[in-house]
Amino acid sequence: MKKSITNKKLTVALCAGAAALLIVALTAVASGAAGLGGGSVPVEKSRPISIAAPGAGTATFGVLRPATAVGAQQLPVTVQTVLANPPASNAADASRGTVTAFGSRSAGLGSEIGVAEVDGGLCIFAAGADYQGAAVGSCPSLAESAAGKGYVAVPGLSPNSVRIVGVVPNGIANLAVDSGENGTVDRTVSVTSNLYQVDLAEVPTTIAGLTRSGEQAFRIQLPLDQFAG
Amino acid sequence: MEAHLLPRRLAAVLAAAALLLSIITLLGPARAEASNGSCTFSEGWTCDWTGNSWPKDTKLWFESADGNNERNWLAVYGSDDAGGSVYKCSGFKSYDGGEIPQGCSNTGPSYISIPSNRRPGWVYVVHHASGPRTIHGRGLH
Repeated sequence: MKKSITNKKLTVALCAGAAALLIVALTAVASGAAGLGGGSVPVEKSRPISIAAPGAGTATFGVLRPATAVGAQQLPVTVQTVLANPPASNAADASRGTVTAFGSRSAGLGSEIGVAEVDGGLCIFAAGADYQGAAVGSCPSLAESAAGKGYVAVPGLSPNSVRIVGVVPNGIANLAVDSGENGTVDRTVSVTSNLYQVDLAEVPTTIAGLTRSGEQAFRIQLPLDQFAG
Repeated sequence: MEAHLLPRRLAAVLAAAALLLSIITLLGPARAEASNGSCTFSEGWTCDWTGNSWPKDTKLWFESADGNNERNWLAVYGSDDAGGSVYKCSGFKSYDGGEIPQGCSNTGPSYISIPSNRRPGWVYVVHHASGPRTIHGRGLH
C-alpha cells in the first residue's frame, strides 16, 4: 500500500515537471517570436499604405505620378515599409501617413532611387544593392525640395565620400558641384526625371541647380565635412 | 534516507524549478519594454535625447530597461531641432556584426528601412557634428 501511494506521487510530480517544462518551452518560443517582430507593434505592422488623390507636388516634380496600390506593390519592399509608416504617422493621428504620388527610376545595377509625396511633403528614397538591400532616405517639406534642399546623404558606401541622392523641381537639367567651396565648378551632374545621384568628397560643398539654358535656379551648401573621420 | 524517495524528490525539485522559470519568462518581456529613461514603447520605440552634449559621431542606441535591445527592426527614423547645419542619421547594426549604410538628412527626418535578411539587430541615431542639441528617434519592429 505504501509503495503504491509513493509511485502515484512520483507520477504526479513527474507530470507536473513535464507540464512546467512544456510551459517554459512554449513561452520561450512565443516571447522569441514577439521579440523578433511577431506583433509587438500591431498597429504599425498592420497599417497598409494609405493612398489618396495627388497633392500639389505633381505640379512641381514631373516624376511624381498618382499613387496606386498596384504601383506601390512594385516598389522595393523596404520602400513599401516606409510608405506604410512614414515618419509623421502614428497611431494617435490616423489622418497622417497618406501617400498621394510617387515616382522612381533605376540608378545602376540593382538599385533604385525615387520620391513619394506623403502628407504634403516629399520622401526621397534610395534602395537596393548599393545599400545592402536596405532603403535609406529623408522626408523634407515640399518647399525645401522645390528649393533644391531635398536630398539624402549616405556616408560609408566608399572611402572618404558621401553619396547624395536628391530631387529637384521641373526645369533643372544639371547640377554644378563645387567641392571645397573654392569658387570652381569641379563637375556637372545631370538630372534625370527630377532625380540625381552623385558621390562627393567629405568636404564643404556647394551645389547649384542649372536650367537647360544654364541659368542658376538655386544654390545650396552641403556641410559634408561632418562625415570626415 | 530511503533510496526510492530520491527520484520523487528530484522530480519535485525539477517541477518547482521549471515553474519558477515559467514565471520569470512570462514576466520578462513586460519588464523589458515597460519604461526607460529615454525611450517609450507605446507604438514602436520612441526615444529622445535632449539637451545633451556628446562628441561627434556618437551613436545613440535605442535602449530598453533591461538592456535587451535586439529586435527584428523594420525601420528607424531620426529627427532633430538643429536646422540645416547638422546632419542627423539613422543607423542599424545587424546581428552578423555588419552595419547597413546610414541615411542622413539636414532637413526633414532621415530614415532607413531594414531588409529581412539583416535582422535582427540594433538601431541608433547619430549626429555627425559635436555640440549640445536634441535628437529624436523612432523605431518600428
